[in-house]
Amino acid sequence: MKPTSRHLLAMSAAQIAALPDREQAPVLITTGAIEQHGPHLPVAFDSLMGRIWTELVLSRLPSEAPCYVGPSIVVGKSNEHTGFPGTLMISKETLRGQLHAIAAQLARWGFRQLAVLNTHGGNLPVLGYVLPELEWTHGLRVTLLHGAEPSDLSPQEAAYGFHAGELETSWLLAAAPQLVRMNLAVCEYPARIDDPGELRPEAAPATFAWASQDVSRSGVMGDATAATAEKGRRWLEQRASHYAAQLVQLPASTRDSRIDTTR
Amino acid sequence: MPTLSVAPPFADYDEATFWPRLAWPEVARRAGDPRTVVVVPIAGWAERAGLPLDAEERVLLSVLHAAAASRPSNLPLLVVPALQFLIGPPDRAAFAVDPALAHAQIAEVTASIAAAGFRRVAYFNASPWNESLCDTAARDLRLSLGIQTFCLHLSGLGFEMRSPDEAAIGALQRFIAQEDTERLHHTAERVVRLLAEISARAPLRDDGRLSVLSAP
Repeated sequence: MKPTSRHLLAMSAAQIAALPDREQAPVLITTGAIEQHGPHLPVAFDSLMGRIWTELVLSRLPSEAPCYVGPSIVVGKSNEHTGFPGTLMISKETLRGQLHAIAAQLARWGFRQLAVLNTHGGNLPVLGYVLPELEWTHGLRVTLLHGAEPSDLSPQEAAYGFHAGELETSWLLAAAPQLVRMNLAVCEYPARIDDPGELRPEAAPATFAWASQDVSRSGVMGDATAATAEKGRRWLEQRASHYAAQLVQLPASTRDSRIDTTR
Repeated sequence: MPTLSVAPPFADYDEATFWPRLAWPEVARRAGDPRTVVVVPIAGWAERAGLPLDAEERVLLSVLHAAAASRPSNLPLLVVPALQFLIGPPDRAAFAVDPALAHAQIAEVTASIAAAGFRRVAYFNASPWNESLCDTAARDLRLSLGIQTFCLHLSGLGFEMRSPDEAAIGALQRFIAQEDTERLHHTAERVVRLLAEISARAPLRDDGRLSVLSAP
């Protein structure tokens, strides 16, 4: 199956009704955002990565592997970036409603599996409580795909390089270098791994709710200056293959729920 | 390692005017021009006798792309990603939403645009079933946000998007297949003229605030 023939929105309703593998095939959707990513990356970054992952993942699926692509959620819950022009945002209620509308239609068409590839951290807590709802309400098996983190990031970058830093900038340098302005890249961390105490913005025994303006003047949280296209190619390949492997395994799965929002 | 193969991102939009291509400081700078028109494309997914479900978006973006590319240099324009929803009809709509959710999508994205400093927002809607909702949202947001809002509908530009009859479907099919370039250019020119009117319209008095008037 060609990657382009997997897109449900490019089909008519009659073509979708004639698909023979609807009960086995997962439908992949991406949940992204349009939000500030520092002075060097476009505000499209998260939703753009949704497109890039979709294309890379589909090209890595065996042609006989059943999988279709559904609508993407382009504007996400990005209120943590309030005050940075260019950020578009929807509320948690609207995000929830959109996900239910997608799930309801897929269930009506006879699909039974939904795979969600999320590219924006701000959506994640909402997905955490909405995806189980989709299972209960629409009778779908819902899987949140998880990404493989690179093992060769510095401990500091791995812990606090979570927005427009080395990883994300490297991805885009590899996939769409014309959209990256490395001359404007900066290094700005919201916390240091050797800071005293245990209270942190993320991944700590106690966390504080942050708005981007609280922890970054540029909008960058990480070291964008360390990014290279070579790292990006390697990290894109690793993660795309990881996503593809998860999708291939889904049709054979008999587990009731695969939702894991901790990753 | 396999070679990366990623199509040019957002190839269906004009580079110079597509909001998502900008970094946040560039958006902030563009907001400094009070004549800038921010276009919010709106399209739904619907069954039309064998056409792809995203036919509305394909038509709308073709027109917008051509309009953006042919606009005069003194027309400041930005285009946000299309909002995708349809509130009916149940026998033809795919991924249908209720009016409250549709309105929330428009209102929340428009509030983001206004918060960035833009004062002119034009909803460019493709779906015949969304027209009343877009008109209602435009009025409400003019009042609640104090900005200028405008509506353009594909139906007002001569596109028959509702009828399931063969002639209408055939015309859409030719347009989507880019076989009707004359219509594309003609429509794009009309859209440019309309956007120029929107950009040139006088700003709202008192920064859009309304007051209770005294008797004359």
